[in-house]
Amino acid sequence: MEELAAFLEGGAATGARFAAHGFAMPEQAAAVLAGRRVMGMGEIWARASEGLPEGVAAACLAACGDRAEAAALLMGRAEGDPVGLEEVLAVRSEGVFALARRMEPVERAWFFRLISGARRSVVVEEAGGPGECLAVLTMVEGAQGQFAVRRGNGLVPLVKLPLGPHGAEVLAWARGAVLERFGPLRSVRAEQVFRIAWEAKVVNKRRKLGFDLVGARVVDWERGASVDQIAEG
Amino acid sequence: MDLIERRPEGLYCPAGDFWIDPMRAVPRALVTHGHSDHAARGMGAYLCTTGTLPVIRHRLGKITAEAMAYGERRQIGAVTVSFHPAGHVPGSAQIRVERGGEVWVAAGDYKVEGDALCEAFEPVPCDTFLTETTFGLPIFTWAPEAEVLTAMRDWWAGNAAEGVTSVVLAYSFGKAQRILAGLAGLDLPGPLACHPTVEAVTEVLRAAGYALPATGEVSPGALVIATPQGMASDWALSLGLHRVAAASGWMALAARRKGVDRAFVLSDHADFPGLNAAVEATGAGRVICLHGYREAFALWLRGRGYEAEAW
Ligand SMILES: [Zn+2]
Ligand SMILES: [Zn+2]
Repeated sequence: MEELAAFLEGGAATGARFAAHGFAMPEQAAAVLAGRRVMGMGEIWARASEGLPEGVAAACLAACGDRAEAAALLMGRAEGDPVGLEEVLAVRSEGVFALARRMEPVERAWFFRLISGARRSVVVEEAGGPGECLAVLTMVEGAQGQFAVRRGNGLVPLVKLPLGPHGAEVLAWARGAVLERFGPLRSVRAEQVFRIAWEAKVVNKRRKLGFDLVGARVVDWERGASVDQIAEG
Repeated sequence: MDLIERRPEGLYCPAGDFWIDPMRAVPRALVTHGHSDHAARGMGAYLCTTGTLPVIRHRLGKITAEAMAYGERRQIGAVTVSFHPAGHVPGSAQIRVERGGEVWVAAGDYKVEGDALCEAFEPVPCDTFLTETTFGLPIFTWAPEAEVLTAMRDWWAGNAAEGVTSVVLAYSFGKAQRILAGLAGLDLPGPLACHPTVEAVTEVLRAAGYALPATGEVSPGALVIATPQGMASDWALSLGLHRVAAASGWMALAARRKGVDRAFVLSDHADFPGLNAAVEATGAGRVICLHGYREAFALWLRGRGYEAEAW
């Protein structure tokens, strides 16, 4: 169940993403999605907020800003054994609340979105398969780095990732290369090149590049490489 | 006449001519605890518990202040006042005010569940109960503290195994030390450390006799308690590889979990069941709701037969 939540939290669904989270087959994904209309969000909310004064229910909704989350929190903490993926796949409307009661609130909120179809972006939309490229480190935050590729004379963000196998050394370099900072996010001189690999590209219109990388990771720090060699986005 | 009334400066007791947790300068302030939204600067004189005194002296500097032990009674004007444990932060108190058999209790901030640091919440029977309602909605139900701290320890252990430092964001007074004290009882994967602001308050509490574990320099694999302001300062540059978690009741809401690697729902305030239990335990017929979701909680209580209002 934790995997399902992590999976759903991550964005659009693809065969590669299902595989990476232990869903054996894209067919399984299809089965989850096929079962998602077992109950509408209106009905879920009505059941979860039953017996509350109207003003209290409204305040809960306003605090969460989302009926799925408010309904999930109203049901309280998880009780009983964790829910298996098989049970989610087999769910029918009469068992929805009994099943949900055994999930942690975060998982439950995603489950409600899934079964009500409220999570529209759970749609298989793949923009490309596995690949790799060279990218330059532009910012550092905690144990993560922001990597960018070239567009014309400028840089566009590609992905934010753990700094990878040479993390400690990269950070030591970054400390001497900080340009400016906005809270915990430090921009650094764009001069260190890294090889980035990924499992799949999925469409995301909110990104400058128009896609997200799935299963991305730093393969190596290409110390000899120059910024001129990084990929064109 | 009501024993406590609402004034622009804060809660006022006319029969004793003093204020409770005033936010504007007044001659006499009874203070429930050391947080800045309860103990403000500029009062002529402060009266608080012996546990709160060192904290407000640390925060406010030179002030005229007196302390009382929990349960000790004092006549002020026509009323008798006493302080009773609120379980919120070290030294935190509910203030009981009595005149001629009528009892009002101003709870300040409180938490019903016990922890490894604070004096445990004590229900005080009264006619009128002034309750906080920071988390006064039924969406707020906390997991037991032990579960949350074990999850925090496990997250820390995972980070430490990678040589990554764990940073936990928490209030510098109360939450920070409660986490230190709570973690100290577990099997820990590395050393504990604090941001200087947090360390200074921790030192004040140690000197006041609270049992807190040793905290040292920041090192890879350590767990560091810091404030959000600390993380935005140059101090954060010295952390090396790190992950950031936040510990707060607000982490129950998805919108508040953005921008941190991990969220722990850990509050120093009562959750919804806790508020209900506290109200019931006082036996009060009249309840006044302060802070947070006070309108909604008053509405809820009216539906359960209480005379309840939001101030
Ligand atoms: Zn407080
Ligand atoms: Zn407060």
